[in-house]
Amino acid sequence: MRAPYVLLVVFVLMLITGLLLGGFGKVFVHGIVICLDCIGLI
Amino acid sequence: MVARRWSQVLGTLVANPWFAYFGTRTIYQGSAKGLCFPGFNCYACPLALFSCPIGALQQSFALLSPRFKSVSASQAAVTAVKRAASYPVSALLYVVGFIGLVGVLTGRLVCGWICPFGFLQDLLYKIPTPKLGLPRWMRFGKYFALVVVAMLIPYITGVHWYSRLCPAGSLEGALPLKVLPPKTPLPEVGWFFWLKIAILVVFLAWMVVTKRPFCRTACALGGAYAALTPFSFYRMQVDSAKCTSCGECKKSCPVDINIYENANSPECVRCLTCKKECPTGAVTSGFGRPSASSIFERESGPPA
Repeated sequence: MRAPYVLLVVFVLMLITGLLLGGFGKVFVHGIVICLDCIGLI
Repeated sequence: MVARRWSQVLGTLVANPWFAYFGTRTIYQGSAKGLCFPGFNCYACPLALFSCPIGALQQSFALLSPRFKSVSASQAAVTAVKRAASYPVSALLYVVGFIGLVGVLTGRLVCGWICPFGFLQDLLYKIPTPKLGLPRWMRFGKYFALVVVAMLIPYITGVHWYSRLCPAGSLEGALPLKVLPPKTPLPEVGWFFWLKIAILVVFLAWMVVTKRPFCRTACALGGAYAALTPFSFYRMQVDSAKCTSCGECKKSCPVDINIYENANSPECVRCLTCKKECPTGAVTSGFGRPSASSIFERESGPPA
């Protein structure tokens, strides 16, 4: 059964590509946004 | 399951070790927040060190939205959004890759062993009260939460509605920040704050009477891991020759399933309590190669 291996490869490639393109830092930026934005104090 | 309890305590502490907040009153914004925590933990929590994968996922979809607009509470956040808006695809790839990798390797093991919100639900259910079951159809709620509320609606509206309504966010973020406000001034509490608190109270009450209601009906992260559980490399197995269908597994199961009906059910959080409680030792688990029968059919069933 190949599906789990295909999924594994796809997700690893997505993760690595995201990291190489700067996704790591972008999640960090989103973290700040949501921290300040989602507390419901509006 | 002493090991699981310690693992849940450790998971909660690893996700929330920023005790410096009590002194500095500053939400952690260091590089560790560039990493997602595999469990469901709000990164608005003053103690949070890592990002919430669902928060990051929906924010990525919101940033991709043609209708994206900043609804941020401060100028700093507005600036951050504008900077991030240049590269939303990289964040989306990173987050989807992260969630997918955890899911395909372990299924919902994270839910059972390290998720802080799952831990809270396990503890609240121990309060002695009359208990209620959960209608089967409600299990589809977590997939709706994932696809519609955490992805589609943020893309259409440009606003991360799942985070805004999330009870974990209210408990770990909104309430602590209200009680111990950060140095950065925040807007006054409005009606939306009380709506969030009402949702939280409903879920907390539900957790006392029903086994893990949030995990089973509304957790978008649980929905993602559940969808990948049938494909995951970490497998449960039930030896039908040993199984007597006595039901001990269901009695101890934190999500109320019969493991012998579907050993790799998307509902199973891999807590392994059934493995310990099974009087005949019919339940086993471990990493292995998923077979076609285990994905598209039931891997095991009750004895004839």
